[in-house]
Amino acid sequence: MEFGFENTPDMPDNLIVKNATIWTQGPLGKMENADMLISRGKIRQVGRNLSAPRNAMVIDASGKHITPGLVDPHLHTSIRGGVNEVGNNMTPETRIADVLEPDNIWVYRLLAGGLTTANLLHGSANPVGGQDAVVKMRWGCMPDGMILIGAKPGLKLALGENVVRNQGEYPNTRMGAEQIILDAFGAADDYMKKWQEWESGMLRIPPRKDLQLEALAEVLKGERIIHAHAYRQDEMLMLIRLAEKIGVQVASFEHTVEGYKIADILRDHGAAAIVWTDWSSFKVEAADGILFNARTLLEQGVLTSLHSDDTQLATRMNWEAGKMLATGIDEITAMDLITINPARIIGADEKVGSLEPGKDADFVIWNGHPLSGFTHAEQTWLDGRKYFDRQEDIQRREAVRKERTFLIQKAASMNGSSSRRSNSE
Amino acid sequence: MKHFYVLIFSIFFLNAPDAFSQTQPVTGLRDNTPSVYAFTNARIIISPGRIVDKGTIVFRDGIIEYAGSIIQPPPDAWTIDLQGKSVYPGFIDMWTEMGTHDSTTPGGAVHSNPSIRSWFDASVSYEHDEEQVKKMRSQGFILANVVPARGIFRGKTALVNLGGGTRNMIVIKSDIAQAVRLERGMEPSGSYPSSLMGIISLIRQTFHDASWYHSVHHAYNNERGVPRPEKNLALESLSAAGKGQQPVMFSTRDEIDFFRAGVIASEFDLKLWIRGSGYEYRRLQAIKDAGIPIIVPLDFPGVPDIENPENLMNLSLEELRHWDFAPENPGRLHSAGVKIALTSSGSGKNNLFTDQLRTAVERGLDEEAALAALTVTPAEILGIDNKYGTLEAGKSAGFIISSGNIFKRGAKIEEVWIDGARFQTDHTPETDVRGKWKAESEFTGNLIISIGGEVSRLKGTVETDGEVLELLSVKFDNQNLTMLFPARPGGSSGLPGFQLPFQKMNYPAQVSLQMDVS
Repeated sequence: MEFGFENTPDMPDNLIVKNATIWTQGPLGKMENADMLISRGKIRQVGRNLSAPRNAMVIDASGKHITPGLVDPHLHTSIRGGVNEVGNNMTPETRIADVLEPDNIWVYRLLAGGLTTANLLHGSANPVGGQDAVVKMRWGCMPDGMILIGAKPGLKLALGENVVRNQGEYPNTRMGAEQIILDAFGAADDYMKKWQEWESGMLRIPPRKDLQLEALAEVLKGERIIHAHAYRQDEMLMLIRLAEKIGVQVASFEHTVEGYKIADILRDHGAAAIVWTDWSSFKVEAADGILFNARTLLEQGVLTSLHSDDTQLATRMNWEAGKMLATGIDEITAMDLITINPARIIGADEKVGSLEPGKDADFVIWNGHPLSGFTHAEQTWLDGRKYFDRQEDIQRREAVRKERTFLIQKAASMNGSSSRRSNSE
Repeated sequence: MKHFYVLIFSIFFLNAPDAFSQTQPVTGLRDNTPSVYAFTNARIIISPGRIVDKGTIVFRDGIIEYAGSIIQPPPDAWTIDLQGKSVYPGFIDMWTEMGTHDSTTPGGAVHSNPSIRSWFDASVSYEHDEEQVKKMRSQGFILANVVPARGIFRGKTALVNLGGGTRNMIVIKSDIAQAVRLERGMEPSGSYPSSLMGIISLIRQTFHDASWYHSVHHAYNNERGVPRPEKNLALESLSAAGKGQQPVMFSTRDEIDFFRAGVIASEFDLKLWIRGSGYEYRRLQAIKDAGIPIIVPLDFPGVPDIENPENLMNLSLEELRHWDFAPENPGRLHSAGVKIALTSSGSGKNNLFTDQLRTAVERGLDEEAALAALTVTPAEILGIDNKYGTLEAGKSAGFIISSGNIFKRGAKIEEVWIDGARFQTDHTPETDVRGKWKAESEFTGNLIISIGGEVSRLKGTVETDGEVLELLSVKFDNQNLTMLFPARPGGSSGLPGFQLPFQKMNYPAQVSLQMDVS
């Protein structure tokens, strides 16, 4: 299957999922033999023995587990034409939202792994990469239809090795990275003042609208949050000090490999930590990664989440959370790491991340304990619409196989005929 | 050599119907040949859906005076009997990149980013390339909208006629649209922008800049004490486009690009034209809802290579589907109610347009719609529908003469006429030149030339001083009979070859052979 759905999956007016183990990731915790009532794409109620309106669609989920749709706060999937703009070292003007690929097959594969929301970010080639896009996996929708409206807009920053690699192009050192970020925010501050002067009639000619500085100014005004790629404690300390100097907060550090060394400082600043479970030592600045990073951060009160940073890994984030059980984290907290915590970090927790009344009906029906490596998603619902169903998928695979065979046969019957034309012509 | 002269003279006469309406000085003798023609007995397609089965067209000085049922031609008309032929309005190509490959960036006040070539004006830089326009004519095109080839902002397009003539007669209209692409336009690697999101950001910033530029210059020109703003021809050139007064033509690589262009256009209230990708069928409804005219290429993939098992494994369903669906794209767009114009660009290098056009018709595009997409629709989009697009009286004499239904395989496009000038497009010889010819020349003495072989593949020998030599090549294109001699061993004292011009006295051709050895 290589295209998105031709039609948006149906949204039943009322839907009740019954007799499941529901991981609400909210105040109700994990409930056995529970029901969830959904109306027009929103969760109405979670509890026991709920009564549904007549004509409600009923799913008997006896023996199944239900979790919120999983959330990955750091992913680079379904972005067309490059995740880094390498023509400049500072590219805050670039927007992931401009280049989404809603038909990308990986969007569907992520749904098959229970993932419904992700923050799509730039790569880490530039100290300031650009404007991220918090999206829902509405496979086959219009490009702008993927955007999760209401999530907090973010700006990707990057520190450490990656941004100093371009020899001869500033910055070539970590100190340089610090200075260029400081310089850019200084310019954004001047820019805002210039516009204020213009608006109060002090200027003869209007300032030039500068999309680079606009994005940075949005950060200064608190309208856009910072997600900063960082591995080492020193670069994180640098950015925290820089942010405090200019009066902004770093919303999250991405990767945060040495986060455990400065957990208290992250907490006091209010920066969240987005970490891997067991990925480290693949380059010098990743050498100090430890398995207990997430647990240490959590215990110090840092808002912590897992992330994939990788399209394949993002299809099995429940396994990633499952791995965390080995560090002594309880299962509810482990599930938080891939649901409500990342939702909070990307400012989308009013809509997604937990199964609570009023939130979007994004949920996964698992055939067993969701943190087990033997479990798979049976159905993934998004906005109260069924976007993935394992049984339907098996049928669809057969339909795809048939279509493929048909087309190959058709091609075979035409091969060698006069209408043949190679693409190289 | 005198017959060469005749030939050159005749080209001049065909392309300059009226010497009083041009600025280029006349050199040599003025041409006073009357330019009045009547086509008779032709099947005339006046406009899509308006067909006269047997009729007459009269045109004078490049303007149609009459098109309809059979009438007596005016006495001064050169009458051409088109019994069995069909006459269509000439095709208009909304997108060609020929003749605008100049990639130099001037040193003056253009733009710091070399991808922003909005200042580039196709009507200034266009270079008429006879080989290329000949190919386009052979597919029925008489006019083309020339799109600058380079840059992200490529520059201003120009409408040209594909007949030729003086530089000032070739260009019909300048400043038609600003062309923009969502990909890099052959810039050096590593330069900004390198990514699609960078490209979109640059486009957005540039439209902001154009609007800002306008307001600061307005202030500078009207008030005292305003610091002098920069001069930037690239931004100045975007003034009309940025205000929605000049169309912006986005080229797209797939149906998602269509929406990306749409987002930018709605952000700046641009008047949007889309050069399609051939993938529109995948998002038909949304594309229809956008209500934007699309210039559709006939880019149909060849039959996938499935004989090699490795290729077969790598073939995605997407590729297979596109191979299967692509020829239906024009028909589906039209049936959905999208306004389409067809373009020859993108339909392959080997003059595949006519072939692909017929495929598109076979795969669901109705003939009337196909004709409209090549005539009235582009004329309307370009704002020249009072001059071109149909064969109604008062319009320019731009025709296709075809041996039959142009949308059916087998029909030949025999001639196109552009602004009243005739161009032969089908070079199948109308005259059988096979036989034995005697040539006399003061340079060579008597020669006996024997021409045989097939009409489309002539062969021959030449006999001189009792020696029979096989000719290396024999070609006849209704204008010249050209022969090439083999070199003789030991020297080059022999004749290299002949070119024998034929002069046509009437139409259909009656050839009077006047031989001369060049």
